[in-house]
Amino acid sequence: MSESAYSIKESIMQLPRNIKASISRRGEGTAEQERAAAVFGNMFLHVHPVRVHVNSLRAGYTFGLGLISFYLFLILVASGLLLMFYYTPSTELAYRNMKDLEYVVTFGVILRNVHRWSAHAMVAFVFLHMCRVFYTGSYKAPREFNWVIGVFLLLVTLFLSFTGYLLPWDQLAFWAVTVGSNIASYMPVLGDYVRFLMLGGNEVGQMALLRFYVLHVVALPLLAATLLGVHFWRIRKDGGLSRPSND
Amino acid sequence: MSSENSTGATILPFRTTDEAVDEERRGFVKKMAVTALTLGVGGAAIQSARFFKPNVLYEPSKAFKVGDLSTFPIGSRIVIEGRGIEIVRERDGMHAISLVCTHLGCLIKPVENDPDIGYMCPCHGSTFAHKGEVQGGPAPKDLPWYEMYMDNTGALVVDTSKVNHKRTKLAV
Amino acid sequence: MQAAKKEEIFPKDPNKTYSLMAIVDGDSFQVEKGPEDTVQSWPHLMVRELGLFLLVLAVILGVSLLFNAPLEEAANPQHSTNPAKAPWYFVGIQELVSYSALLGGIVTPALIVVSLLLLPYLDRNPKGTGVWFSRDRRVATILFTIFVVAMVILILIGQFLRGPNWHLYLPWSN
Ligand code: HEM
Repeated sequence: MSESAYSIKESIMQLPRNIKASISRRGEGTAEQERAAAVFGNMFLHVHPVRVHVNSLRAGYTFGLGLISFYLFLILVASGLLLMFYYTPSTELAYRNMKDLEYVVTFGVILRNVHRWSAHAMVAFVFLHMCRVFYTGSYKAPREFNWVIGVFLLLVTLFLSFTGYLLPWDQLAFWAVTVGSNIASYMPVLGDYVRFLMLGGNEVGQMALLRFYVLHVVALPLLAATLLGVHFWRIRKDGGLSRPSND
Repeated sequence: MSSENSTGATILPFRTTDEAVDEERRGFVKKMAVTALTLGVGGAAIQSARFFKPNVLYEPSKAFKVGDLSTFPIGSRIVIEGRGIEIVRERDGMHAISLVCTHLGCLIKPVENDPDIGYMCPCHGSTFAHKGEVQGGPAPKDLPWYEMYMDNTGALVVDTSKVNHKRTKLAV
Repeated sequence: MQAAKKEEIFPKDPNKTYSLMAIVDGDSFQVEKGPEDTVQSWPHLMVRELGLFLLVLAVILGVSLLFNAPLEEAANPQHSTNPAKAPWYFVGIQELVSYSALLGGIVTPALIVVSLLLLPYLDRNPKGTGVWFSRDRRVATILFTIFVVAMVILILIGQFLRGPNWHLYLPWSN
């Protein structure tokens, strides 16, 4: 295109097309090429390879358990973020905030239910996913390290649930965490110190609530997201999902 | 350390012994550097972890008044709400016993009118004798007794930071 | 020594937006052989992924409309609930803790985590990968099943058969 061909009128007429092209950065090509470009040209999809083995699509092989765990994590992040708008990590206010969510806030109950049930479901599905990986022998070389990442993901999932359990500051929360933190104090040598650091004091109180809150809404989700990134990256680098060797 | 052949050209051996020594020295320097770095960074990290230990606690004081002698008649067992202790007064003196289960920290309930069992934990069913000894259940330790004294105003004070290991009663 | 003629094995193509990142081991040379048994991720994989996401979302929303998350009375450090139960996924551990706090609460969980971490480095038998319950891994399958069943049983006991004072009781009795 020569410079003389530039015209502001033309630009305005082409505006929608140009904006679309700048976002998708996709040129013309064969159908095959365009489908490939749809995957690798998109930041959110390019963790996927352009082509996958049919075995990974077999519903009866993975049962989608890892994916379901991941989706639950996404739902938890979204609903948790919304809950934060109405929650204060204070022993005076936390329980009242819960009651407000239940009776006052529009869609508050549903939001809280979604967050709670997804959390329970995530623990269950991560465990089931681990069982599927075990029973299909998918932790064998070269996937050993991804299994290790997975074990850490399981631990982070459990810690996320446990820290979240205290936040409503009801009887269930208080005594479950009292019992839980006392189990930690049975650790040899360091036990009492670990409990003290975990609670930020000698008893489950304001400091413990604040600590659990920070871990629950910032530290552990960031850790989980990072580990998930590595987990997915490794699936690709290890050659996609496991499958029978002689096909 | 070069040698000469018939054409007079100098042929350098593939690797001189000097270089081998050099390798060793390099290895040593590298090891030292890595060790120093690990110690430095590790030490700094451990020291930084002290940040997480609160230096001031806004918790109720460990030593507190429980009331005058007259609040505790002989033969009474009175639970001090919110402090996790019970004051027991018998003919030969009184003592403050912890009501926090030594198993997992649940609050223990005093059992009334039972000659053997004095306390029972609702969480995992541990039972304790009247003096605090474990009778049954998973509790690993006896219930501690705390130091107790009378201050200059005549009020009884319990200090839960000091365990009365000898289990001596406060004679009154 | 003669300098090897530098040859670009993978010449840069200015029109390509991708480049060689890694060379992966394969079983054989893949000369003139298209990728076998593979399909385009778009649409085959992604449509399924999207469908599964919608399904998960729908189920969670459905359950959330029907059942409310529990909320008990406000926390009261003066009164233990009876019994005080951990969340269900820890109730199995709590059941162990009710026998011995150190063995059940620290040693067993630590052993489980360490065994899980070491598992892929100990079981290096390459046979039976990619098949459910492969006959080549019967021992591993049995051992893991024992672990899973034990966990499930402990959780069931802790969750449904433990009443006040952590006494055993049957769910239908009061
Ligand atoms: C937050 C928890 C987790 C998420 C979201 C997650 C997600 C995923 C996803 C989406 C896949 C692809 C295959 C599939 O859907 O089944 C996968 C594969 C895998 N996961 Fe996980 N995972 C999690 C935890 C774990 C745990 C606890 C383990 C094991 C201890 C594990 C080990 C593996 C391994 C080894 C693979 C590769 C399997 C294969 O190649 O067939 N992951 N994970």
